[in-house]
Amino acid sequence: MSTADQVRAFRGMTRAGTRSVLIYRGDLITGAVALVIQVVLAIAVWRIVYSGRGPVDGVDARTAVAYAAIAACLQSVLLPWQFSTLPMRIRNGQIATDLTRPLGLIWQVFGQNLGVLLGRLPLGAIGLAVAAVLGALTLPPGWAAGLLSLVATVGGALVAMLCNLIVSMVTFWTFEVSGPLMVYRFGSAFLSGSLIPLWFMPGWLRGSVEWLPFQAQVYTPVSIYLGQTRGGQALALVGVQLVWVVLSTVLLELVWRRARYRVVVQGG
Amino acid sequence: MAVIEAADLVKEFSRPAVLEGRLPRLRGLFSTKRDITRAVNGVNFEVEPGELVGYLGPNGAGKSTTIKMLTGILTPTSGVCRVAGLEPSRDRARNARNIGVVFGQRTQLWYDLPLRDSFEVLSDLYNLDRTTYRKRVGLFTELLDLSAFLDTPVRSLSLGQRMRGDLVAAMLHEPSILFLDEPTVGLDVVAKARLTEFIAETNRSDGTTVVLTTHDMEDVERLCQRIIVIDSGTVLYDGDLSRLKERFMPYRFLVLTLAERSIRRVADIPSATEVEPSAVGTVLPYPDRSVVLRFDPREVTTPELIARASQVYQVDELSIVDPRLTDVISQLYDGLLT
Amino acid sequence: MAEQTWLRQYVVLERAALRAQLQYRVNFWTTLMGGVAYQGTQLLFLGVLLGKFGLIGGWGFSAVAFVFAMRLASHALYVVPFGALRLTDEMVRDGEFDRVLLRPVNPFLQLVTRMFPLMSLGDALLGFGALAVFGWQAPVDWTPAKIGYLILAVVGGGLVETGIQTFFCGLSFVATSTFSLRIFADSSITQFSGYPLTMFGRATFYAFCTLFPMAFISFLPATVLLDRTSDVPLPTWLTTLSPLAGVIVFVLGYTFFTKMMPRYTSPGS
Repeated sequence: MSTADQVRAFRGMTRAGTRSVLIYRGDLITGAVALVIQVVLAIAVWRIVYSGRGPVDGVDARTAVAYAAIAACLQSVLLPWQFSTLPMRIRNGQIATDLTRPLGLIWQVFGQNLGVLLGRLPLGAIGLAVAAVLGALTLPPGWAAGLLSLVATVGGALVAMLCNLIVSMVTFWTFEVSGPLMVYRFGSAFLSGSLIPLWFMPGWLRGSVEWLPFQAQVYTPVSIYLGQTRGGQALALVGVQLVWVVLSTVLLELVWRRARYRVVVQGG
Repeated sequence: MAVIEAADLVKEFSRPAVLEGRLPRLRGLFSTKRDITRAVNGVNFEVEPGELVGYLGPNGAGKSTTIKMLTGILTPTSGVCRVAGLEPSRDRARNARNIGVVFGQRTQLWYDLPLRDSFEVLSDLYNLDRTTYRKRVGLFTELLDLSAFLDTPVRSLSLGQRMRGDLVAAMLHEPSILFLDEPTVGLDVVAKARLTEFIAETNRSDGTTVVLTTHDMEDVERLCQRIIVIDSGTVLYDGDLSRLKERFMPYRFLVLTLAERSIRRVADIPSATEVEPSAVGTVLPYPDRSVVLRFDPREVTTPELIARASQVYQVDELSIVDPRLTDVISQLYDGLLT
Repeated sequence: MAEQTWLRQYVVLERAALRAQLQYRVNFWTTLMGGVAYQGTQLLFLGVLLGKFGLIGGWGFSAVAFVFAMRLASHALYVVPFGALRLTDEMVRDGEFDRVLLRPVNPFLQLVTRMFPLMSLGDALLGFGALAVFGWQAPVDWTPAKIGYLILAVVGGGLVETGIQTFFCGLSFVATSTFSLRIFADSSITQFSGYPLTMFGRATFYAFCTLFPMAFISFLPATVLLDRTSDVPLPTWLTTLSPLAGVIVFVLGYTFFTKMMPRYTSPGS
C-alpha cells in the first residue's frame, strides 16, 4: 500500500473515532454539563482555599485558579474514560479482523484515538469559555510563551495517547483491562498535575513525579501557558516531553511485538 | 383453547430523527425530532397447544419484535398478547416459567463458565429438584451429544455446540412453549439436521408448542405443518404449508429424463412450458438428458400431461416435483412489491 | 415449582458471577488496586491541599478527612453489593438485557449480580480503614449513640448513592447512553463530597440537597457528629434526620427504574 493510501486509511480511522463521539449526543451534552460544573466548582474551591491570602509558594490566587480551570478542561479532552476500543476488540475477538486490514493495528488504534480526542475538543472549548466568563483565565506572559504552550499541548497529547495505548495493550495478556486502566487513569490524573499543580506538592512527591511521563501531559503545557515556567526551563520541559514521546514509542513497539505473538482469538 | 394469542398487536419504536441540510450532526445535538416506525402493525393469530408453527418473513418484517413481545422482553404499544393465559409483559416472571427461548444470534449462557455450570445455575433459578435436573441433563446430553464439551467454557464452544447448549438451557425447566428465533442460523448441514430433528422430536413426544422463526426454508419444510408469513408488520398468510404453495405457486414440475440416444427436440406441449432445470431446485442426475415442464394442475391433469409428453419424447424416467418453499416465499414477497 | 426467596437467587447468581470472574486470575489484584487508586488519589489530593493551606471553608484536615472517610465507607456499601449496576447501560444498549427479562427472577437482582464485586473489596478496605483512622482522629467524643448514628449515616449514604445509580439504570432504557452521566455523578461525588458543601454558597448547597442529593451522603450527618450543624442553613432536626434520606432516594430511584423498564427496546434481531 502506498503512503498516500496509508494516510487516507489513517484519516478514515480518525473520522470514525470523531463520529463515535458525536453520535452519542446525550453523552456529549452531559459531558459538557459535567465539565462546566466541574470547572465552576474547581474555581470555587481554589478561590475559597486562597480567600484573601497572598501568594503561596510564589503562586498567587489568580494563577492557581486559572491552572485549575485549564487543567480540568485539558484533562477532559486528553484522558476520556472510553479512550480506546482496543480492550473490547481483543476480548470479543474482533481483533482478528483488525489485523487483516491493510493499515497496521497500532495506526488504526492511534487514528481512532486521535479522532476521539478531536471529537472531544468542543467540550474543552466550552469549559474554557465558561472559565473565561467567570474571570478565571489569564493571558500568557507573551507570544512566545503562548506559542510554546501550544506546542507543549500537542506534545502532552502525544505522550498521553502513547501511554494510553501501552496500557491498553495489557489486554493482550489479561483479557480484562478495567483494573489496570482504572489505576492508570486515576494515577495519571493525580500525577499529571491536573488535580493539583506540582508547585504545591511536598518535595519528595514532586521529586518523584518529575521522573514520570504524566506531568508532561497536563502540567507542562499549563504551567508554560501561565508563565510559571519560562525561558530555558520551559524549553527543557518541552524537551522532556520529546524524550517521553521517543521512549514511549520504543516501549510501545516492544510491547506490541510481544503482543502480536499472543493474539488469541476467542472461541475460534 | 389457544395457548398463544396475539390480537391487534402493535409495537412502535422511536428514535432521534436523522436531519438533512447543513451541519446535520451539529444540529442533531439539539434536535428533539423523532422518527416513529411501526415494527409490528396489528398482528393477529392464535396457536393451539402442540402446534409447531413457522413464523416467517424477510429481514425487518417484525418477526423478532413479535417474539420479543410474546416472551415478555418488549411491552406492546397497543393490542394484547397472551401466552398460556398470561400477559407476558405484565406477568413476566410467571410467563418466564412457562416458556423456553432461544435466540440464535445471542447466547443466554454464562459466557465465561463451562456449559454444565450454566445448567446448574439455571436449575437453581428455576428451582428444579435434583433428580429432575439430573434426568433432564442426562437425557439432553444423550440426545444432543453434549458430553464432549459439557465442561468447556461457553466462550470456547463452536457455534453448533453453543446452539445445542442454548437449546438445552431453554428446555431444562420443561417449558410447555418453546420460542426459537433463528436457531439454525450459521450452522453447517450436520448440526442443522441434528437440531431440527431434536425440535421435531420434542414437539412430537412432549407435545411442546413450538414457534420457530427462520430464514431457512428447508427447516420449515422439514418441521412446520403451519406457517405464518409476516411482512412490514402485518400477517400476509396464515395456514397450511401445502395451501400456501397452491395459492402462491399454483404449478408443479414434470421432470423427464430422456432415454439415451434419443433426440432432444424443442417441442410444444399444450398447457406446459419448458423451463430451465435449475427451476426445480434439486440437482438432476442427468442434466443434459433432462427436460423440465412447468404446468398448472388446474389446467391439465398429471396423467394427461405425461401422455402428451410421451408422444413427443422417448422417456426413460419421470417424476413430479413441487415448487420449493423458498421460491414460493420469494414469489410471495415479490407479489407484495408489485 | 415453589417460589424461591430472592436471597437464594442472589446467592446462586453471585456465585456464578464469582466463578466467571475467577477465570481471569491476574485481574483480581489489578482491579482491587483500581478501586483503591480511584478513591485514594482523591484522599491524597485533599491531604496535599490541606497540608499546604491548612483550612478550607473554615474546616481543618481532621474534619475534612472524616467527612471524606464517611463518604468512602458509604461508597463501599454501595459498590460492594450494587456495583454491577454500572454495567446496566451497556447491557441495555447491546441487548443483553433480553436475557434478564427471560428469567423468572427480579431484573434488579439479576443486574446487581451480573458481576461479583471483586474490585470493590479494595473500596471496602480503603473505606472502612479510612473511617477507622480518621474517625479516631476527628474532633468527636465518641459515645455508643454517636457510633450508632455514624453507622446509620454510612448506610444511608450508601443507599443515596445506590438510589442515584438505580435512577441512571432506569434512564438507560430511554437514553442512548448514560455513560457520561454516571461518570459525572460518580466523579462529582468523589471529588467534592469531602468539602464542607456549604462553602459553595446557599444556592449550590440547596441543589446538593435536592437535585443531586450528594449532601446526604456524608456532609450533613457529619455536621451532626462534628457539632457543626450551625454551619448548615437548615433546621437542626432536619439535618439530624439526614440518614433517612437514603431510604427515600433509593425508593425513588427504584420506582423510576421499574417505571422505565417497559420502555426497553431490545436492539438487534
